[in-house]
Amino acid sequence: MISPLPIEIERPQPVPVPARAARSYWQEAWGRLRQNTIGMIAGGVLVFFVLVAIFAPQLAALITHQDYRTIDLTNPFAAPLSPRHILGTDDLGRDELTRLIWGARVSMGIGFLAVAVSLFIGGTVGLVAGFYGGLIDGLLMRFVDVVLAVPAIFLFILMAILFKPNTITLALIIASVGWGSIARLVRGEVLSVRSRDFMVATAALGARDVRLIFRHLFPNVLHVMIVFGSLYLGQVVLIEAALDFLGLGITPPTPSWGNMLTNAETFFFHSRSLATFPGITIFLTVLAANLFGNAVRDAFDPRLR
Amino acid sequence: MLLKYVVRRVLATIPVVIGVTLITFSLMHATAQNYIPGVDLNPALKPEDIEAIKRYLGLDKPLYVQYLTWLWSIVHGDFGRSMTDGSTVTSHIFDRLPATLELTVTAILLGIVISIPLGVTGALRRGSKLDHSLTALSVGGFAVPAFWLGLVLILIFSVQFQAWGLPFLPSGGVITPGTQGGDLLDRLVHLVMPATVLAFVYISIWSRFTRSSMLEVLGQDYVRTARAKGMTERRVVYLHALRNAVIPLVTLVGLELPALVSGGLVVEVVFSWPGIGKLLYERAIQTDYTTVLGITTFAALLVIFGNLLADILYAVLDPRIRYA
Repeated sequence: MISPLPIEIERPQPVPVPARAARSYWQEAWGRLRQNTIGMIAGGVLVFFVLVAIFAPQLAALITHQDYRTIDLTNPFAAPLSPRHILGTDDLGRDELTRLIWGARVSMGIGFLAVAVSLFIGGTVGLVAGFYGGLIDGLLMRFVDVVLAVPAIFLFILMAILFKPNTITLALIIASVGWGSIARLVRGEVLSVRSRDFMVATAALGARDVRLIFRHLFPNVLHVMIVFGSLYLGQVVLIEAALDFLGLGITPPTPSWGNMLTNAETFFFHSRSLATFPGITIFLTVLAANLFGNAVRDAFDPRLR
Repeated sequence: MLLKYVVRRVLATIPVVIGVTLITFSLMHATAQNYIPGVDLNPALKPEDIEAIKRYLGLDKPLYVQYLTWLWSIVHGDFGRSMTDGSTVTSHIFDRLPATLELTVTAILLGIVISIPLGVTGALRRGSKLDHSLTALSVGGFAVPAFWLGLVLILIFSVQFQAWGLPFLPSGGVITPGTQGGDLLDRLVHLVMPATVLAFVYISIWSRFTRSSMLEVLGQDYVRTARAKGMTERRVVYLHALRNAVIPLVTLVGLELPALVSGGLVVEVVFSWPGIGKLLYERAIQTDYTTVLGITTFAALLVIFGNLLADILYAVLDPRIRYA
């Protein structure tokens, strides 16, 4: 028996590929988001406003040393940087900065609550409609058509005069329209995910509908909801401020960025800052929300850049 | 094939119309109940007289009959009566619609006329300082609250300019009070600020959109072919590329058609513009539910039929849609 020749065959050594850590879809998206400087700054601004909203009482006590309700008729229209009033006072001598700080509670509270409720209802409707299809899908989607056919601002005004809203009801009023668009988006995404192999395989293994929907379908459409939610936040802040401005949302004495502007026109010759500060605050918040939303969208779908 | 598509679309619209009218009708019933404008102001009316009036108006009939009667009157263009002064909602709508359309149509046209050149400029000078500042402007413009922009413009161009003794713009209204409104210049002067505010958002969205659409088209083969043939850059950009770049914009502008009636509400209130939006706002403050719901029904039906018309038009223009 002839032993095989002891020839050493020089095999090409595999070129070591630079180790790429196994990262999930979510980690990759987060990585891309973290590299987006503008997006991260915008996110930081949003976090700042959220913190201001949460710690409004402490900020008022420690920094401005004023209560948002304290009326001082001897000192109306104080200029910014005047003693004891960093941003001056309004027509009733109330501290402008304190009121802006408390106003963050209204805008941020309603903003996040309305987005959360819209995502919850719209997400559920979209998942159910897309998953079951047929009659359920038809009925739910026609209902969405109905909700979206009525001009939103008309509905908001109607509900505002019917319910005399507080922070929570106003968020619910805005969400009662906002869920429609997200339901449509989620349903569209579900339709494309539903027929993929992993779904068929899981169903074949005997998974129940609830498990299929929430354990397998939901994580695959979650990114649509996150992107929509972060872009919708700015819109809610704008709508809410407009309703407050019109006197249909949160009304004085509770300060909100919108209702602080209601009388600004009248007092223009007494104080220009009353017309500018709340507007700039709304602008900054919405700008940050939109930029952050764009960054989130780019992080999930880099092709869109 | 086209006919089949049209029939299918019309049939799909019916449940939406029924849904919208059912919702507004139930809201109307819940808010106004069987209230008849004026009966509580007339002391001469006895309870049996009121019963007679209710019978005459059909308010004693079952709800579904009332709904169908109401639907029937809407088909005939009757959107009910105000519960505060008994005036017909339809007459109010026709009083206010021209002003609203004057404002919204101007704003949309302004938006188109300004956003396309801005978008094209951004695309042609991609990455330049000009492009970056246009992008920044559009991102910023989208975040400005319309009511605040209106307020600031009034404070600057009406109030402050007047205080400085400069020529100033009127702060509200369609025409100068006391005039007949025949003066075109007067109307334009009143229109400038509200239309600018309303166009602002359109410009920020559409210019971004034109830019990305233009960039996509400029990268396509037929544009390279056109350049290779020795065509002037001007011809390539404006004759060949732009035409295809604005097609998606048409869809986007079409999506704004529902806003023709409702989109200007906040701006109308800020500028005391006597349109549909301001009418709805005024009536809402007076808790005149029947008028508010009448206008809402009108606007919703307009949106539904607008969408239907747009879909059919698309199908006529683009045969691919019919077969989808």
